[in-house]
Formats: sequence, structure tokens, C-alpha cells
Amino acid sequence: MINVSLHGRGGQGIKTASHIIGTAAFLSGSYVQDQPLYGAERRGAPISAYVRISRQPILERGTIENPSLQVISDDSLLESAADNPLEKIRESTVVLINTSLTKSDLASKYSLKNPLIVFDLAKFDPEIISRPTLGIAVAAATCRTLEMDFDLVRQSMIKELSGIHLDKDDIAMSIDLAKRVYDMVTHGETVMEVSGIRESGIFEMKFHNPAVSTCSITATGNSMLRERGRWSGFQPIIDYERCTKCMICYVYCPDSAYTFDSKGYPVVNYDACKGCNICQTECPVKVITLVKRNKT
Amino acid sequence: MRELLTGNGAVAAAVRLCNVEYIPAYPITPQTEIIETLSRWISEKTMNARFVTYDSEHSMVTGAGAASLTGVRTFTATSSQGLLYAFEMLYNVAGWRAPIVLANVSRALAAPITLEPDHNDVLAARDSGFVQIHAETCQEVLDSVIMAYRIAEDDRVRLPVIVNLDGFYLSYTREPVDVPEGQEVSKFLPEYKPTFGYLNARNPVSMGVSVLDSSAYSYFKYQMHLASLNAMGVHDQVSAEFERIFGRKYDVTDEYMLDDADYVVVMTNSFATMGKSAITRLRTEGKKVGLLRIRMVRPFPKQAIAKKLAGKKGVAVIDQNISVGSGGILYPELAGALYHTEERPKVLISFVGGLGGKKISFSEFRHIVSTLEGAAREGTPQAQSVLLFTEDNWMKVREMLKIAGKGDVNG
Repeated sequence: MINVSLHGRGGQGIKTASHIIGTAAFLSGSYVQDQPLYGAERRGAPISAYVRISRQPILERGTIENPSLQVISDDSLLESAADNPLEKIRESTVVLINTSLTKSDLASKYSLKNPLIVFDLAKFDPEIISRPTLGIAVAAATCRTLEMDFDLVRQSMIKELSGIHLDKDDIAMSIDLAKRVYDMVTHGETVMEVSGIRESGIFEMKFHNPAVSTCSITATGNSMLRERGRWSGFQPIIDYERCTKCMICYVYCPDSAYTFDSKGYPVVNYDACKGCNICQTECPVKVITLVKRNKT
Repeated sequence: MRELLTGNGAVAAAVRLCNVEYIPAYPITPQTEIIETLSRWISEKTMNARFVTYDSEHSMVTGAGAASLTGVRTFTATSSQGLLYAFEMLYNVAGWRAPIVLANVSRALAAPITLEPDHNDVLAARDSGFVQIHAETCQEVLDSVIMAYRIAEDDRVRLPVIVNLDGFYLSYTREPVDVPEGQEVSKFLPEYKPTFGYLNARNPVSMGVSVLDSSAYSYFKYQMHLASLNAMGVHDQVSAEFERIFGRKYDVTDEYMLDDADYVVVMTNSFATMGKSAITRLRTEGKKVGLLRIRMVRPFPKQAIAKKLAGKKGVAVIDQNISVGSGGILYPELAGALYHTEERPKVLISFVGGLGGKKISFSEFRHIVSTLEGAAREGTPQAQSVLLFTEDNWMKVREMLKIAGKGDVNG
């Protein structure tokens, strides 16, 4: 059984990617199981999806513990301590990653000994590779790595993309993009079944004082440990020449990303900002603009 | 047609095939995709039914029962907190003998809040009068919904049915599913024509009347129990007909490598797939183990279970639920089913695992089997439920406790 584990961010189309891969494998006559795991269910938040492909009926469920192929749609995920997809790979897992880094840079930066395949979607026109189309590119790169015929990818895309109500022109454009990515990815690493299980002893649970064992958080402010700035597609920029210090942005920010400087001007903590755009909408003097966030 | 469908998609496909006429709806993760799909089909006019959004699950189940009593085939769906919010009305709808089908997408109950499955939600409804069928695969979900209407609408039963599927592990998981043709389904499940009084302006009836006489209450309540017991025989009959038309067979229990097994693991729902995988691996290690999955949970098929487990050396019941202060919920039911049989297994041990969707690892399955072997050898049965939880699981929790400000907690 080939286990494919996909990792990306909400809004990139990772679930759609898993469906395109799953359906392409299904059309080739394999048994298939695919499943997204939505995580925080927020645009930009880490999301994963799993595809199992087998010649025999599949007797597994849920998250994949032994990936044959680990697909990473966005190298900013590697910077996140809580969600680093590289932590879940095994020795022989092939890693397929969208990055501008070279294989050797990547291997040395993250001490990786695994077979690596890199592709760089930043080379494409940013108008074509935007968040929703990223998943299509990732699906095409994955299918190429799995040595699936492009015709299966095309058939699968028509089925899956019409299923999410894309019109004919958009589907044609998507297939065109997929073909370019498919041709760009150099394969050469063979994706194989990764077997083996993680053994762990049984833990005997004892009574703990409710001060510990009640589901509560006593360490206030620990949400700072989970930096969410990378979730955002856009960042608010304030025009201080025109800002009236009315504090409306501070009041409406759902993530408390606003503080004030000594003169009373609002300052954005970009590590806490999820790019929800509420401050821009609410600013009564319209001095907040949104700029596209630099990916890393 | 064979296609990839999620558990939610399989429910929706079955509901359309059953020509359901009325769907009261309320969204809740991980069930929402069912009602999203049905509402889309109705708006696209590829399904002919009335779709009504309600203000809560309590009203939704009331509406489902009331609609059903006007003589239309009715479907509704919920999950977890939603099922509990409707709780009072589950007993009412069953007492009205309204033959609705309700898909419950299992999700563990708050607090603490989570989205992943265990069965405290659906098992809380075990005494309500609903027949309960718990599915392992997306195919079984689709087939069970179709069979559920036959059972619910049969005059020997005339009770509502819950079809249960696990959140995420089935609800959002796509698998190959054979979707039957509408004509075939219509042959199996004809139009719903109630045979006795239902709400109709020309022939007024009162439903759900009060009985302030205790004998009358006992009568009506016990009649529900007898009707529910009938559901086992009706299931077998319906299942035989289903097999003849669609070629797939379902019993009230499902088994895997059971016949020659000395030790048996009893499970329900989608985690049984992981159990089967573990059984396969343990067999390669020379262990004579098998699995019994209870598919029909209400009525509880005591005789069928006792027959399957007769003569076994040891049985482990994995409850993916916990009755706080008692342990696994199904374990005492199994013990009750086995007590009066001559050839009952000497060892019957309760395990609680998969709470909040925690995966049950191979190490845990191995632990189950070695616990059974040990108890059979030494004749020291375990009185308390054993929790399936690994050192790795604890390390993770310990780290979280640290972040939450609870200090470094020793196990």
C-alpha cells in the first residue's frame, strides 16, 4: 500500500488535491481511501490530507503514521514548531516539496537524509499560482511522482473540479496548469510501501489532582507560543500620517494583534495577525491597507 | 455505479435513492456535509423532497417525527451535542412509533470539546426506543440507510432507526462505494404507505396522548420493547432480500477470522477496520485471534453474540465510550448475554479505548491479546476496565499539561 500524506494551509486546495490524487488512482483500478484533517478549520492554518492506494482492500483508517510520500505544499510549514510535517516521516519516505531552496540546501538546513523531490511554484506567474490553484499544482506534482499517467490526472480533475462547481474555462485552465507542473517535476525517486509500526508500552493511568486533571489552562498568554502570523495571506499596513488614534482597530481585532506605541498609535503584532481584514473594514478613516504577505 | 464517496456522501446518496420526502435539518460538524449535499440536490432539482432548516436539533427531531406521522418518508441527521440537545424528543418520536431514519455521525461529547469520534453520543440514546445500526465502512453506511427504512416501516417494528457512522474516520473519508440504481432500490423499498391511522385532516387522530394510568403506560412501553426485539428477525429477512437484489450480505454481527479463534476482540463501528488489520498481523505471529463486530446495537442481539462467542478461551470487549463511574457501556451487556450460556468464555475483559477518536495502535491490540492469554492461563480475570493508552500518548499529554501551566506532571 502506498500512503500519501499531504500538508499545506487552509485555502490552498489541499483537500481538493487529495481528491484529485485519490480519484486518479481509483480510475486506474486501485483501492483508494482519502481523508482530509481540517485542523483549526481556518484559512491559512495548517491542514493535512491523506491518500491510501492499494491493490488489495484497505484495512486502515485515519491519519497516516508511515507515509510512503510526504507532500509539502508550502515550505513555510517547515518553520512551524507545532506543525512541522517533517517530524512525521520515516527513513525511506520520499519528500516532495514546493520550495525555492535546492535539494542540498534543504537537506542540510533540516538534516534530511530522505529522498527529496523539489519543485518551485514561485517560478510561475503569481496570478496563476494563487492560493486556490496551489492544490491543483500540488496534485499534479504528486501524480507525476507516483508515476500516474497524465490522462488519469486529466479525467480525475474534470470529475473533481466540476464537483466543486468550477466552470469549463476554469477547468481547462487548471488542467493546463497541472500539465505544466506535471512536466516540470522530475521524478526519479521510487515511492514504495513503508511498513513497520511504532511500538509503545501501555501506560497505566492513575488519579491526578483536579488542579492538574481538569481541562483548563492556567498559564495565561501561552497562545503566544503558537504563532499564527503565517496563516495570513495579507498584512494590514497603517498610514500613520492619517491615523486618528481612535482605537477602533484595537477594539475589533479578534486576535488582540493590536497594541499601542508611546504616542498612542496602533502597532500590529504580525505574529498574531491572521490577516482577517476586519481592521481594514472597520477603520472609520480608511487608513489601513492590506498587502500580500511574503510567504516566508 | 462504483465511485469514491465519503460516509456523509453515502448517507446522502442513500437518502436520495430511498425517495425521502421530508428532511428537517440543522448543521453540526462532522455531519454538515450530509445536509449540504441533500439541500444542493434539492435546489438543483435532482432530488424531489422538502428541505426545512430548523432552529435547533430539538425542534428538528420533533419536526421529523410529526412529518413522519403525516405519512411521508422522513430523514434527518445530527451528531454529538446535537443528538443530546434533541434527547427528550428521541424518546417522544420513538413513543409515537414514527418510522424516521436518523443518521448520527459520532463525535465525542464535551467537555472537553473535540470533533473526533467516540460513542457516548449514540449510546446515550440506547434506551430511547430507536433501533440502532452501527456501520464500519462507507458502503455499509449507504446499505444500512436503505435497509433501515424497511425495518422502521415494517409493522412488526414501526420504530425509528439510527444509523451510526464515525465522524472523520467515515464521515469525511472517501472509499469506493457501489451506488445502486434507483429502480433496484425502489423494488427493494416500495413507496411508504402507512397501514394505520396517521395525521390526516379528513380522519383526525390524536398522537402522543397522555396516559395517566400506569397500567396503560406499562402496556405501551413494553409494546415498544417487543417491537424492538422483532427488529432482529425483520433485519435478517430484510437482509436476505437485500443480498438477493444487491449481492451484499449483512448480519446483526460481523466477524473476521472468528471460526477457529481462541481469543476474540469485540468492537463496533469504523475502528473495527483497525482491529481487523491488527488481527491479520497477530495471526502472522501465530496468535489464534479473531474479531466480532456488533452491527446491530439495539435491539441487542444477545443470542447471536452468545452463539458466536461460545467455546472461546477469552473475549475482550473494546468499548469506544466510557460510562464514568462504571467503565465500558457494552461490556456488561455482553456479560449479560453470555451469563446463561453453557459454553461461555471463561475470560471476559473490558477495555476502554479510542476515546475522543484516539487511534488504537497495534501495541494496544497486542496488549489486549496478551492480557487475555494471561488471564486464561492464571485464571485471574480483571474486574475493572483497562484503558487503552500508551506511553507515547502520555508523553504528548504531559507536554500539553506543561504548556497549559500544570507543571511537569509525573505519571
